[in-house]
Amino acid sequence: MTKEQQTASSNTHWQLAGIRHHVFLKVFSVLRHNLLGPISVTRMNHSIMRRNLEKDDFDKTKALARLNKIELQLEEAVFGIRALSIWDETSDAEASPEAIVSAGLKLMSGFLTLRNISVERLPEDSGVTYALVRESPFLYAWLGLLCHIEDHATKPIDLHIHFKDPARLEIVITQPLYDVNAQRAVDAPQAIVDHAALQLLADAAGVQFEFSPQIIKMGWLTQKD
Amino acid sequence: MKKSILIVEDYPEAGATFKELLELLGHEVEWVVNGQAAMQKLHEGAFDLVFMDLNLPDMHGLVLLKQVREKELSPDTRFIAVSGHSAKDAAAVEASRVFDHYLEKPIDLAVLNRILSSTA
Repeated sequence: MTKEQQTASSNTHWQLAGIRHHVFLKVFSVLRHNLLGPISVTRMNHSIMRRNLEKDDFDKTKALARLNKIELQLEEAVFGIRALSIWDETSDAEASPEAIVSAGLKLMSGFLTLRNISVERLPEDSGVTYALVRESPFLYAWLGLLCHIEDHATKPIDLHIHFKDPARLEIVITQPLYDVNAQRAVDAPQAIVDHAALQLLADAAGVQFEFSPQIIKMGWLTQKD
Repeated sequence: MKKSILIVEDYPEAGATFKELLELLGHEVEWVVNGQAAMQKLHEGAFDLVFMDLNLPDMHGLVLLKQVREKELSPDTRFIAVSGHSAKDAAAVEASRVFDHYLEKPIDLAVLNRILSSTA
């Protein structure tokens, strides 16, 4: 490899790292929210136990049941913390594209709502088998695409998301006939995830994006291809 | 003073435990798991306080509050957003602007008591 090629490769590496960092920070608040859920319940259970004890209202059976609840919540918190490994792009963990698409939509739902973007996930054909993909790069690419749509939506839009086949996702963009949020039109922030950024995310994940004014297609190779 | 409270929370453990805690504090509490059910409850009767999670399964808490305001339901009710988002996040900033109060998870009992005692 020539020195120029090494420099280009290094530049691409850092550009990709920067884009992934942006995507991660975008959803970080949601991850934080989700992790705090079980901690919050644990704290409330703790408050209830303390209050009962202070009132000398101690029932051993109830106390044990509450301790079990606390234990379950702590287990859930631990599970959530361990699941953070998905954000490590070197992770080899695999998942179904369908599950990753759902997880990405869940992480982005609040941001899309704030930008007047509604999402309709069309039902998939039952019995379809989705080949597993590497979870981390695929999730970054999918979230990158959602960030791109969010960054570029200058008016309220509806997204209709549908798996055309087990290796191709289609997003049809329409404008709502009646928009309850029209008066809350938002200022478009500076678009960070542009087409070049998306291409880097796509290359790293082995996916392809195709853009036309109203349809975005996201395809990927499966082991059968 | 006993308050009439509605909790809108889709996470079952959180909804059930929050209800239990508020009841233990002496309040009358109802709990629903989505925005549609919350609208139904607000049509049926008035509450002193509504504690609402922002990330609901059928609609965002901000959209739900907007619909409540547009329909002029429960004009005397105080609406409290409950979320794990940091107060600096976009959703939290917007929630702080439109809700009567923003309560960050994990819920601090002292802050909760202040909200309860400041509600007429």
